[in-house]
Amino acid sequence: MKFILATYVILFFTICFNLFSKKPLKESLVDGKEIYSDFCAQCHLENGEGVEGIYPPLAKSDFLIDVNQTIHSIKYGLKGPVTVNGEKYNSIMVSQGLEDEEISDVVNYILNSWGNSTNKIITEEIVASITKL
Amino acid sequence: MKNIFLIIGFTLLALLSCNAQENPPKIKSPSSSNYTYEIIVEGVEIPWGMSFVNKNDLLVTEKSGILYRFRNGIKNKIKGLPPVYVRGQGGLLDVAVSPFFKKTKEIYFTMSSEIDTYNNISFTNNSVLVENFLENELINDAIELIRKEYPFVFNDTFIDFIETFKDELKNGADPIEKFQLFLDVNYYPDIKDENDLEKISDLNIKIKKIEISNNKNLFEEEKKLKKKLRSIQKKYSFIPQNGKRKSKGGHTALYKAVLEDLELKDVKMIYKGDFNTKKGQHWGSRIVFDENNYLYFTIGDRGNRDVNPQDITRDGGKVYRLNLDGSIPNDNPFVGKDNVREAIYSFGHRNPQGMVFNKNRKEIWTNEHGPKGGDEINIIQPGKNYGWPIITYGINYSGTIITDKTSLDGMEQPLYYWVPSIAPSGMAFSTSNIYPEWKNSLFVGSLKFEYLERLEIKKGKVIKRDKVLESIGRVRNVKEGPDGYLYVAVEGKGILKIIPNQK
Repeated sequence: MKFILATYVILFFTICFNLFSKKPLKESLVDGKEIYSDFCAQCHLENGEGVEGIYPPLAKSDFLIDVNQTIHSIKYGLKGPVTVNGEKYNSIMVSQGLEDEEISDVVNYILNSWGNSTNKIITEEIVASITKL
Repeated sequence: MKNIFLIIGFTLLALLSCNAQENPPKIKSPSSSNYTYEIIVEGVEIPWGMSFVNKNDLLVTEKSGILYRFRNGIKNKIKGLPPVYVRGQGGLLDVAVSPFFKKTKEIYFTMSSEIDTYNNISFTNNSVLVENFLENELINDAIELIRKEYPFVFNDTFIDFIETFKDELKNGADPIEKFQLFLDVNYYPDIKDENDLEKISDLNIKIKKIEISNNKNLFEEEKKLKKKLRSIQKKYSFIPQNGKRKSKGGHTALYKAVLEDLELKDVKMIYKGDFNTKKGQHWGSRIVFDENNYLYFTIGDRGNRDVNPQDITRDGGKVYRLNLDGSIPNDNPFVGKDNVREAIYSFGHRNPQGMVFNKNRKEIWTNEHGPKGGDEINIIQPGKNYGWPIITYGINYSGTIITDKTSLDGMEQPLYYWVPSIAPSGMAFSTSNIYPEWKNSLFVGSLKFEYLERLEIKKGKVIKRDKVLESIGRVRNVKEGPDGYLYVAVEGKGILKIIPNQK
């Protein structure tokens, strides 16, 4: 009986912890949209289409398949040649100085907009765990 | 009936195509070029600002927060920069060598800063109030010292400070230390709730008493009180971290420093925009001097276009004018008005990232980023309103309309506006005889289209536009060097010198 109670208590706290420690996706998307408009839309445009040959697209972009790479390039910047949807780009994106939580919000927003979809939820902790290569 | 629809349809089409049309004159790519270029400084990712000490000695800022000195072909980092807040379009921005550098070794620079300057209303011109409190020379000295260290503080705060520490100052206490303590403990500009204010001041007094008593038995109590204090403070936008106050976000700051070889000494913040914000856009900023040695600098609207540019009690969306020591010239247009930022020289700007002193006409010229369309060249005049966002030739990035007005009484028209936007940054006139065909042309960098634009201006009108250095990369800055050559800062490449072909 004691054992069952203990398990129950642990389970209860785990659920509570998960429920309250994580920022709900809905909220993250709202915040992410604002960050996107502020820091990203100037080059990648509000519709995520980018500018051919200069700023790669984020809408239906194959670059986003590697989420860690996506987070890394926002967190630390990206320089040099990349191929996105078969097109070559060779430019610089500097780090925007965003906080980890802000990066998680904007990545969630990008991964769930303009025809992109994912079942992954990026948390502040995931962003924090990505270190400079 | 069908005809009516057709007419409406055509009218709409005509309007739309008008909108998309380039504002004349049409830019041209010259078929032959009479110049080449040479990269003189390499390895600067985003060369934001540059300023010549002399023709063999160039200062270059890198946006991420590095100041370089490029002397006789060798590039070195300069030590001693204050902390740079790199966020969005912000970072280390412009640098300008003082007109009296030979004598003073002074330089000026602008950067995004997280430092919370409370409320930067200068008390330089309000010292009459303070004078009533001056009782002896020591306090007078203290005021002078604080005036230098904290040029922008709230007048009332300053008077309170003198009252509080009068005796201690007379006894030789360090005024700067006391002043910092006073600000940290007593001055909370964001708190509107009087209960909280009372609680904070009550807790502060208790904590201070324990500190003074140095009684070890009370240390636990002190910890509890501090925790309580922090929990109240957390409700507000600034949260003391590591014992220091910190407000969220940042704003553009102007600094002055003495450059000794490769080290900055005597670094002083002489202006700081308020209020800090986490927005990433529109920090400005350029620094320029006129022939009377006034200093002009710019701050963009900080991403708050509906509030900042038209409000002269707030910073952002402004061109500022200061004396070289950071004080405010008595004849600045808004001096003496209640609550205004008296350093403001003109307002209603969006994001000026190019500025030059036009030596021929003795005028300050700027260029600024519009939204989608509507980048502008403006001639800056004291007290004038340049209209953003009430009038503009641009529309929102999303394509929606900001305002249907392009002109209004009491607001200045640009000398020229760009549609489509070129994203202008940097500005210079070619005044030397090195490029005879370009003499007196205006040069503006285009970040978006990655060329240097040359504009010919006659009788206040742009009559010709040419692309120079086509597809070179994002052009961040352009300057005419002391040797008369044009120097161009290109992102990812470095500093380029334009060299005319030998004939």
